[in-house]
Amino acid sequence: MFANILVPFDGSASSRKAFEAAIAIAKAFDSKLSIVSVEEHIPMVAADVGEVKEEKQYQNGLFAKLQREAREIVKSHEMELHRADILTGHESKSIINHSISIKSDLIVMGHSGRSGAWANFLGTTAEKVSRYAKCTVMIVR
Amino acid sequence: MENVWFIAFIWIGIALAASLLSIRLGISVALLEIFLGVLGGNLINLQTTPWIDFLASFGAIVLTFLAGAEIEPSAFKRNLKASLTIGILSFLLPFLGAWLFTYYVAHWEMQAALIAGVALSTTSVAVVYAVMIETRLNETNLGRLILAACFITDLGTVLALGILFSKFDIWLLIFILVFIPTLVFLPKLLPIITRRWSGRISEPEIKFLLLVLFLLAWLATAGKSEAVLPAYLVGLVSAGYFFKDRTVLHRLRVIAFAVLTPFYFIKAGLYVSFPAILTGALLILALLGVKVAAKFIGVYPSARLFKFNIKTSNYMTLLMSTGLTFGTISALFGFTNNIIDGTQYTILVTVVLGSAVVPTLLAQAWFRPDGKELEPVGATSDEAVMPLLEADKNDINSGGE
Repeated sequence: MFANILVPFDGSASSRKAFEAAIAIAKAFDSKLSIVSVEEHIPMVAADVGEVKEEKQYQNGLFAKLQREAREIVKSHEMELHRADILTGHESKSIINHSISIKSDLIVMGHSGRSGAWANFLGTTAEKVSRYAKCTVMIVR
Repeated sequence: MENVWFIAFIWIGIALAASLLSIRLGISVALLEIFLGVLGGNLINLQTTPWIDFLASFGAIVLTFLAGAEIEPSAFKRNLKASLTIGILSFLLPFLGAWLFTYYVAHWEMQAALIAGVALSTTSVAVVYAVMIETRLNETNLGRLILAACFITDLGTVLALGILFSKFDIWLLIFILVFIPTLVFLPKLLPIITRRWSGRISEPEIKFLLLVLFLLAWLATAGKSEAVLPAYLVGLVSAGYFFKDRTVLHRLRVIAFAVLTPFYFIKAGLYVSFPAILTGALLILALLGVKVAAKFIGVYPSARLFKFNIKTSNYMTLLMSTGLTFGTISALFGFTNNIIDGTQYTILVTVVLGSAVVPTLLAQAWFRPDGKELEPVGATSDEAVMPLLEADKNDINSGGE
């Protein structure tokens, strides 16, 4: 039923739960499983180019580590990740655009990741993705 | 608040709060330091002391040096004609626009109006770069061209700030006599010094750089010029070396962001007055409009002249309308040298902060380029530029956006 599953993975407890659920679904439907991590907190109004470069470098390292961990989890289920991407930018927009570009037919995500304080005012990433994504969205609690 | 440690405790507490808020909210630490400085100045009457003033100026010098050192020399050479034209116009038109507007319409004194011109002529390379990495535009020829043009604009700003307010006396002559040989020999000296001394815990290479910056700052300020002029130019001439070896830059940035720039940005916010924002709201909006309009008059036609399509030209113009570090440095220079008063300072800094946010949001929302402009470019000049210009030509032929 679902051939291409995408999991937004930011290392939060909620995204880990979603990842486990996605693995179970992928096993059941023999689907391709991909993850995407979005670096959202690159300072937009920075004082110095180096500040942006170094923050990006820090987040690259952080997300690369998370993705290595995700690969290990998938391996322990005797599966392979189809693809793992790190994007920079607005989290929900990036997830939606990425799911379109890789033609995923299901997004499995946690109900609240690292949206932080803004989520209280602007809504969580899961809310926005479920509203605007072109494919089925499953929110794991 | 006489005890020096109590004052240090308060200031570093504000800096820590700004860092934590920055991580939590994903907003630049500089912006939050300015904001907390504004609150500190207006709500608890936070004041500076001579040693805070020194740390703040030191922070501005290091920040300016780091800004200059981030240019990619090969990208600049590759797009020399386009980046020079766009960069110079991007400085000149807003400078003239803001200067003449504040002089003739707002009736500021001539010197104060010149400070307004300089403060609003800037482009924030850091803001532009941050926007670009989201679209990976920084990896394309268009992105490199925009960044190179931004460096030229900022060079115009620091030259204007350094020259317009200088006292033409013996000190200026001594400054020039020391400064020019420094610019020539420093790029040759840096590799030798770092090869011999780098990696030692006593950090001689950083101390050497600071020695050069302090010497030039002393001579520049003795000639009533601004210390950031030599710092930026020293950064620019050293950029080729630091492009290959970023260790010293990284260490210097750690020092700056931990203990120097917080003092600079909090101080920059300290003199912004809430009542002055309210009374000057119309002028703030008008000056923001003047800055963006002047950037459009300067940058947009030249972007079109270099065959960028309509959407890309709008994007480039809006990104080049942003400002932050050099804008606040210019305004603070004017305020601390009694060229502008507290109200004028408030107006200029608020416009600078507005220009950091508003054009960025507009560019991101409506004019983000796509397609050919985002393809990574090759290393050579013709290969890199021509496909981009051809692609744009096709867009123009088909009616642009």
